[in-house]
Amino acid sequence: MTQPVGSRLPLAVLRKITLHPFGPFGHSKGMAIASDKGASDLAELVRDYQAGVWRYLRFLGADESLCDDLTQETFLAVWKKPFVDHAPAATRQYLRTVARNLYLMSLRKRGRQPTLERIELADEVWQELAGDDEESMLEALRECVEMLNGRARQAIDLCYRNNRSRAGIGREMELSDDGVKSLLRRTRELLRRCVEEKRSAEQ
Amino acid sequence: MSEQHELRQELEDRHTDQALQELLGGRCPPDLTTRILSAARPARRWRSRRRQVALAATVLATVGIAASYVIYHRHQRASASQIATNSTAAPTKHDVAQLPDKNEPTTNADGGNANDAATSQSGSQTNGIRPKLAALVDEFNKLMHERRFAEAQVVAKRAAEIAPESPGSPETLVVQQLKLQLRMVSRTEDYRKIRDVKQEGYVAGLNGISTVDDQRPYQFGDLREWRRLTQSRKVYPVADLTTKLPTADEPSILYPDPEVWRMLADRRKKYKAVDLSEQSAMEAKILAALDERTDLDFSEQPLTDVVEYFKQRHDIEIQIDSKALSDEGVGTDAPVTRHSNGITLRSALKLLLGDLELTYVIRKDGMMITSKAGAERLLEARAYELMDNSATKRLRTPVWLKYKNVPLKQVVEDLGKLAQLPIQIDFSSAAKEKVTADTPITIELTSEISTKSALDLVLQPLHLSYVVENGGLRIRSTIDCVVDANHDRYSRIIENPFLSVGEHPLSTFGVDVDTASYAKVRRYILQEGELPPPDAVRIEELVNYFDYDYAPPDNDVPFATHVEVAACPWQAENKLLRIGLKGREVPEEERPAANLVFLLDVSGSMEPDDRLPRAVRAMRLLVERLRENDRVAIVVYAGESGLALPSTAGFQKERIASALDSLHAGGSTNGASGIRLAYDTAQEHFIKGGTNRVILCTDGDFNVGATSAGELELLIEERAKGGVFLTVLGFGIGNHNDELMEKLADKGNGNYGYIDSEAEARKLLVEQAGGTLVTIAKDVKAQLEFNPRLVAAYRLIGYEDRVLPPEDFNNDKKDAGDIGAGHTVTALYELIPAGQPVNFPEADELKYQRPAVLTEAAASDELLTLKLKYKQPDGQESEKPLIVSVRDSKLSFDRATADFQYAAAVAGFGMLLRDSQFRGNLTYGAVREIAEQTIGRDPQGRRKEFVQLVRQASALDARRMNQKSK
Repeated sequence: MTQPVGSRLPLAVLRKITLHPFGPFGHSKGMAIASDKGASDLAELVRDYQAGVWRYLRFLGADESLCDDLTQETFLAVWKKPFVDHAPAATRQYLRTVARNLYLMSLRKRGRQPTLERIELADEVWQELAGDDEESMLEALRECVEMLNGRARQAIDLCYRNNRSRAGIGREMELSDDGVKSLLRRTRELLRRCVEEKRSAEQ
Repeated sequence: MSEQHELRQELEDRHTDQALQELLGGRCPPDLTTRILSAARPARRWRSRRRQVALAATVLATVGIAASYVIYHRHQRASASQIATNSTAAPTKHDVAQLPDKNEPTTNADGGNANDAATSQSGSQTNGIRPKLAALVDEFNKLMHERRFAEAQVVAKRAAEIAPESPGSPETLVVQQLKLQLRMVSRTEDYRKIRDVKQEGYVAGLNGISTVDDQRPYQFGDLREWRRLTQSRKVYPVADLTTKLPTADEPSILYPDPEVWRMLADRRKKYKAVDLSEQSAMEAKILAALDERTDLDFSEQPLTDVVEYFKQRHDIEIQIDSKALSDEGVGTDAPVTRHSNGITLRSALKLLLGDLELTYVIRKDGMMITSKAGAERLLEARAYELMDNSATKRLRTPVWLKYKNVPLKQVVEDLGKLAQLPIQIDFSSAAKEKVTADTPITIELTSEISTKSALDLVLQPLHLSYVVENGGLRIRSTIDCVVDANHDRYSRIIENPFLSVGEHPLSTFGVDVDTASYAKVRRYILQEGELPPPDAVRIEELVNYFDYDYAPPDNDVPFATHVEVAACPWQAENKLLRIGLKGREVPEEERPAANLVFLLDVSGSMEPDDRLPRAVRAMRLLVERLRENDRVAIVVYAGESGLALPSTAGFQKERIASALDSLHAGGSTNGASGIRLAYDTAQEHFIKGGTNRVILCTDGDFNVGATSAGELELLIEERAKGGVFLTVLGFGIGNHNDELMEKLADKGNGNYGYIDSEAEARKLLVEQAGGTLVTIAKDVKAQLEFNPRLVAAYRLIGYEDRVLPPEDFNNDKKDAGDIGAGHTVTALYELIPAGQPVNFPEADELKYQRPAVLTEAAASDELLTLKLKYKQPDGQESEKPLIVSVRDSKLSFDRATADFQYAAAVAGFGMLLRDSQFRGNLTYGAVREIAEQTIGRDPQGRRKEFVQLVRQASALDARRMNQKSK
């Protein structure tokens, strides 16, 4: 099974990374092309935060290739502006803001009128559920999944591990499509509560 | 607010879904570090290239060929102008710069083009070609600008002809760009045209609407006009995409007159699916309760408590489908929080259950709270009337008839041949209308008509009709056809009236030990939730269903007689007479050997679990009771009959059980063929002095072969003379032919039981196995002679189809009922004492005779004399009659024995179900009260069940009355 990028790239606890204040182009005032120091800072920033940005964009509704593009654009946009990585939480928040704006722009470019309320609510939900520690959330979820049993576990495994369609799951479990949908939704709800409990207990 | 809540839930769900995809499905964020870093390093060039491509695409879409030069230039580092001018002179910066001047947007798009182009002059020059190509390009541009695309296409082709065919050469690339440009612009133009056409069509359609006459709003044109319109749309200018274009309706749609419209709607109603099922009492109660107001005041209360609250408040049955809830991940103790007052129960349930993604289903026996997926599993079978398609089609076959006094049978046969349709006449039913096979038919048609109309013309004057059955027709009396529509078939019961003792001093009847009617009534009321049809209620079978505490005979007589008289509970001035017979008990070890033939109907209609599978289980119960010297054979019948198990000794129980288990239902029903084979088998292994019995298990739906009731009765009657008795066990409901089965049992020296449950099977085949296996007396007849001094009139309650003319009492050739070992038989008479007014008309006084004078015996205090006649099981002549004189004990009803009172209550229940004219002031409440007080010893709980039955019937009757009053 492929490991999440985040799990291979432990987050820096607190770090101060100073990127080149004006990025490679020089925003203005004729600044020089990015130095090696700037490039390495960017590499570190990307390594630490790209998974979170990508997940966030995916959560907002972008498809995978758009997530790739927008994640790239996000880091490039941040890089060319004066930016100081004071604290991971603030950096994450800043990156998410940039990513969200880029996503909204991409929607508008494609002639879609995004609902700001929805995006804001999505942001709020993301903050509540993932918070600043997605890795611990995933770990808690992994433990909660292990605790599942019976038909709920069977449905989750068929859907996510075996990548079976809803109809396929329905055939195997003798449920209608709606029944499968409902069962999966209910189980996800259970898992979400379990994760919340685990994380609040940890805190 | 709720939208926001739903959206939040959706987002939360999506978040978990995404995390699970990552965690379990491996859809992790990719590592984009390299990509981002490489994008950051040559950022300027990357941005520049992206911008160039974007701008070029914009230009291409708007201004034409110049863009192709730009792209060409970007990729090949050579400008079109260079190509165009190379033949005469070397390209200069000025020449290169000229192109952007002519194509403003391109020039503005990227100011660095000129320099780039200048520094990347191509060395490929072909003298003579390039000037021509340049000229053609100019011409192409001009034509495109003027939107003369067809001509531009010709120019592009010419350019392609002169350009050298070397892949990658600048000339080839220019030509390719010309073609691409042409294709792109042409396509854009096509789309524009289509868009315009759509718009025009839409506007024209809207305009067309205003021309419709509001007075005649719905008028469709005739079919040919529709076809013409459809065809015209197919030749719309832009070929492939036109079929979806809206067009004005020209001419406008003409709708029919309102009357025609109404007629069409009415016709559709006729074919509307008809739900033949009726609501049970509980269903009706729940449906009414759903509209009642209720209050919600729950904070974190378990679902079970909430359900309990609704159950008590609305007095309805609610169950929780815990398995379905568990599948959904909802516990029965899921917390519920809701506060709302004065809403309907329906809304309250919707709110509460909606939160938990649950729903409810209303069933006959109560409401079930389940998941949405669970609700799909709780589907209910409903019956819809369907026509038999093949027969219906054949009924349209045109026929022409000309008959004069031709027998009906011949006419029907001819019609059947013409329409290639099997038509059968049920002569026993037709006889009710005094129609026989030879009834003359005279009909002369002047033209061809459909077979259906011809049949109607022939049958209607004879009060006959037909039903479609198994791809053919069955002609019956119109009344029977209507009864057929109710599926279960019952013979009509006309209650015995009061008879004047003066005119009818003798009352004679044959005993009956059948109990099928009670089991059927119970099934209707408790399982189907409806009152039984009156003709399904045979009061004597209801009374005889119960055991009464009669003492068995203490002498050689096969049965003991017990008579009791007391006041009548529903007509206080009248008397109620009870005659009870108790058959001699035969201990199991003294039981003679039995030769049994199980005759099982395995036709398709026996497939449901309450039919063949239940019959098999019942037979297995009986097999368990068999001894080693008994024998069992199994005959099955469907389309054909066969011997599933040859006569086998009773000790081979496993073999018999295995043969029973291997039976499966399927096919049509040729009952007659099976009955013949069963009797043949029984005769073949006949045990002299033993019990020889065919046990027929069927739903009575005979539909192939000699299956008219009359023919089957004759067949059975004939075979019964050979000393083989018959037990008929009925199964299932819906197409149960009660009428036929009762007659078969009657004619076949047998008894008839209906098995509606496993408990009933056990009662008939285990507890009362002695009665089933051992007959102690046959053709038992009772005759009562009433004393006219004390009795004015009498009425036999029930036994309507067992009443015999007085002379048959002494006629041994006349068949009557049989009594098995341990059987109890009870008969009730209602008597009007002399001196009480009688409410029936009496005949005029005779002109030539005087009424009989009273004998001395009449002066005694004897109410009546009861005579009982019977034959030994293997005898052909009756034994000496038993005679019992009965006196009036002048007991009030409540001083009578408990069994007397209980039997009266059961008979009263039957009268209420039949809506009898003699019910007097009897009510369900009174019946229940009597029955409850006289339950007595009831080890099997059958008497308590009866009380429950009365209560349920009372509720159903109240509902029926409510519906009537509405």
